[in-house]
Amino acid sequence: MTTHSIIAQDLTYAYGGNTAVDHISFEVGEGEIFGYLGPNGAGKSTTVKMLTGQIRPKHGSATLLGMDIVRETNQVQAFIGVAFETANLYGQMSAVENLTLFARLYGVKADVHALLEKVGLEGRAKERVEGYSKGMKQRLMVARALVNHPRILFLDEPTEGLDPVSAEAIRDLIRETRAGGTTVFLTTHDMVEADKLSDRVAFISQGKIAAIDTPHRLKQQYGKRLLRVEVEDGGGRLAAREITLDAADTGETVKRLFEREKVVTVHSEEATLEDIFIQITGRRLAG
Amino acid sequence: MSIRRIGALFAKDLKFATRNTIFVFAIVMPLLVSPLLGLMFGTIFSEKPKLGIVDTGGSQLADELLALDFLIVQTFPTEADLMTALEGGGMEVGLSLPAEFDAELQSGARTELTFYVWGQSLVRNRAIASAAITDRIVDLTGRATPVTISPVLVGDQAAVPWQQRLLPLVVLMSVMLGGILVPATSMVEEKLKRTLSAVTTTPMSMREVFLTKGMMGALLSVFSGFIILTLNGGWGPNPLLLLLVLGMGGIAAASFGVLLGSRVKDVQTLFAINKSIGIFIYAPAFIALFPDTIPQWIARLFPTYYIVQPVLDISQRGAGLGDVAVDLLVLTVITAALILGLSAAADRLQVQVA
Repeated sequence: MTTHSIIAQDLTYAYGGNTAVDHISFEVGEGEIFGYLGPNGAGKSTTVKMLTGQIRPKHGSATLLGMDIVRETNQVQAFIGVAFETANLYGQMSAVENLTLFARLYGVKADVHALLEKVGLEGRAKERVEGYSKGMKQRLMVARALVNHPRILFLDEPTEGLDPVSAEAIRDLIRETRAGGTTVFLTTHDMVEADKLSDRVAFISQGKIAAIDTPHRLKQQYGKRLLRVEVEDGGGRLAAREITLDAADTGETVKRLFEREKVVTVHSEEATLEDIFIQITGRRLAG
Repeated sequence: MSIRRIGALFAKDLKFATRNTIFVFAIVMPLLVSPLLGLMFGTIFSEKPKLGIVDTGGSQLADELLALDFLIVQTFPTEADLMTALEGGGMEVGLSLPAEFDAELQSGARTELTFYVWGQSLVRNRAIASAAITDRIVDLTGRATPVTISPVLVGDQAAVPWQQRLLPLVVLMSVMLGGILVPATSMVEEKLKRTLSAVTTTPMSMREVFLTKGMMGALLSVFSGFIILTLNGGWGPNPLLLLLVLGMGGIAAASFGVLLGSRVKDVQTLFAINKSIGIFIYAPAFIALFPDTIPQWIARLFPTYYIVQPVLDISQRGAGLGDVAVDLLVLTVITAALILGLSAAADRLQVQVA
């Protein structure tokens, strides 16, 4: 039987008259990386704020590790780690001081130097954080979110705006954290990242969940697999041909193409999560 | 509430407070203002108390007082001469001893003694001279309280020395400046840098954050008041009561500071608001500057009156708990209202920073 780290039931939140999250329900299994995908303003951050006890749902409930987030906020917060999209570190303090402070707030003993080593900041551990680059701050935020050895880790756009090396370092850390049994709730509008990391993804659009499944099954269900073929006509010009792979006559179509035309290149192509998101919601993920 | 969490955030705030100019100013201010307050309490730039005596009968009391080295004692041939000296400020206090004074004192026939006081003399000097006279009389008679000394003001009796007029302003500045601005700026900075949302996703609640910031303000407020009173010997006869009033004032100031910081968006706005409300905070002190032209009861309309007045009453006039109980009760009600306001503000701010 699957143990659920997060159970959200009918969660709803409105800012004034504007409903940001509209009666959503989902479950996240223990040790799972759950990608929560949607464009800006879709309700991702509001969902995270409700799940982390920052705001109270207007309707519905959420249970984390078997505890109600509204009634047992402090107890839940002791077991979660949150890395925000925007840097919110104490700039006047060093990385060590930042992590030590949060370890004290959680009431845990943390090996802050080991954490900083994990995120590649051990060489800059005693420098003031206000002098850090964006990537360094982001890595320190992830380290801070791990300071209490959380059982659930919330990451909001953890690689947003980072250089490829920093982004990959953070992805490795997320995988490593999950390998240790931590559930990861990954909020992003980066479909490539979600695809790389997530066991399952949820699409949220206009405050409602449009689909939840593994990236693979979503692609199978909604995506079209294609062969993109380049052929050369008699005059030496290139032309593109497209063949759907999952049709009943795909084999025959490919055979005919090779017989009748001069094939230059053949590529298989799978639908991306963004394609599927657009197909399901009619909206793009970015922006 | 967790003492551990509050202690952790408080230690952080304290450690980095030295980089906060408001905090440093609040600490340094009492040291800068002390010379001014020293004037008011008469601890610097003042000579020894000047006592004038008319001694027509060769009293032993006059001889005893003349022998004291902590008083400047001068004898006058007539009471008119003494009054002239007192009215002109040449003497601060005066005694006119009749010819039969010693005999009356020993027989117990004399039960009162008039003590002339120049209207603008320093409170401290009046107290020293009065105590010296009482001690010598007790020594001479061997009885505990043989006479009652009745002060009579001489000279410009309505005039209140400028030192005393300024005293409320200095006390209010020391108690209110750090008490309000340090927690307020700290709250605003935590909001602006979004560290408040990071802290409140740990088990630390917004109420605990408020308490931490309030503690810093209240302790700073008490510290400033403590320093300014200590440096200037202004503790009076009831230091514990004075400390209690400083503590209550510090809590009220810090509560207001946290409330202000929780509502204001940025530091510029905070200082603009602080300037505009400064007149209300320091109003009792300004009113005290003009006792002849502004009815002094108006000061009672301002909340800070109930901080500064008990401090002055205890420090300068030796008031006890009974004398300041009503003012302290009003201060308690004001503080309770502020704390209730803070509770609502904590819930509102939690949603805002999320």
